[in-house]
Amino acid sequence: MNEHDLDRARILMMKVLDHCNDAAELAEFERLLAQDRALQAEFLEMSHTCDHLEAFRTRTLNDLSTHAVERSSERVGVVTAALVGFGSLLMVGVMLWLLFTAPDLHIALKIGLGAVTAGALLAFVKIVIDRLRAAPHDAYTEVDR
Amino acid sequence: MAEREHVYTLLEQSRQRATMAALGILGDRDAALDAVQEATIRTLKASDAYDAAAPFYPWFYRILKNHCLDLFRRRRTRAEVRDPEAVLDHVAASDQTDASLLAAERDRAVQRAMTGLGEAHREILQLRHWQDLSYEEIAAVLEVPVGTVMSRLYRARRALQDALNADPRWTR
Repeated sequence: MNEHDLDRARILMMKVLDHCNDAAELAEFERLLAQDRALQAEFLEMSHTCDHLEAFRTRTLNDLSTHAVERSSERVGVVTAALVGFGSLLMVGVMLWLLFTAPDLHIALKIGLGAVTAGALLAFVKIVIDRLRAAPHDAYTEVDR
Repeated sequence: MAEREHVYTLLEQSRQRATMAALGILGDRDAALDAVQEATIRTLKASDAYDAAAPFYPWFYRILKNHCLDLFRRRRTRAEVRDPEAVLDHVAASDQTDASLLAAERDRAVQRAMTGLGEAHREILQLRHWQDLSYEEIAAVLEVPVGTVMSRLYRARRALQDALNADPRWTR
């Protein structure tokens, strides 16, 4: 095959590999392909590689889509934790203030309820902090449910 | 001049290929998703400058690519973000059947070969195979005729194939 035909065959090969050839171009390519064993071998290996690249794209897009959903869900989790934490602090603060300013409540009850509420709040905050610290090291997060 | 809503619709349609483009440059899923988000905002802000008669993706791709390259330079961690294994490990990790392990090994071989290519070869292969652009779209992005796209694509694929054939871990 001369250099001109070879260049033409390579252009047609690209079109066939990318599925953007018409019937006449396919027929022309098949005619040129039949004349050259080296071209046949090149077409086969490039077809194989292109198929693999196509499959890789599909796998990567699926992975990206799953990852985007997980990432969004993690961010919602952080916002939720922040809202719950802020709301809890506000409620407990107001409750303690109401408790300590209540005129007809016994002092022992004020101290007891205050201590229990503060203890529960501290325990809750500790659990949330521990969970957030441990999350990056969670095992088996890639295992499909 | 283009309506902002129209630009937004075009951005939505370009999201997948843009994410693949960003992943190809940055090599990191989170960084790629963030970069696309940032480029989307920049594009929307600049939507008045967009000429609706021109193809949209090449314009958006230029904004995205510039942003990704800025990030890339700022991070100064080329070795880290260009690590071919790092790009692909998460794809392989989610599925561990024999077929998928083989596919993952091939993915790594392709990625190693891509990393070793020159910038021009790598870009045209990513435009075609990662972003799934047509010849006409690639021509618009690279600002070259369609015939040049096909001949460049042949040379890039030939270079990729030679690199793969030289890799003992590349299996057919």
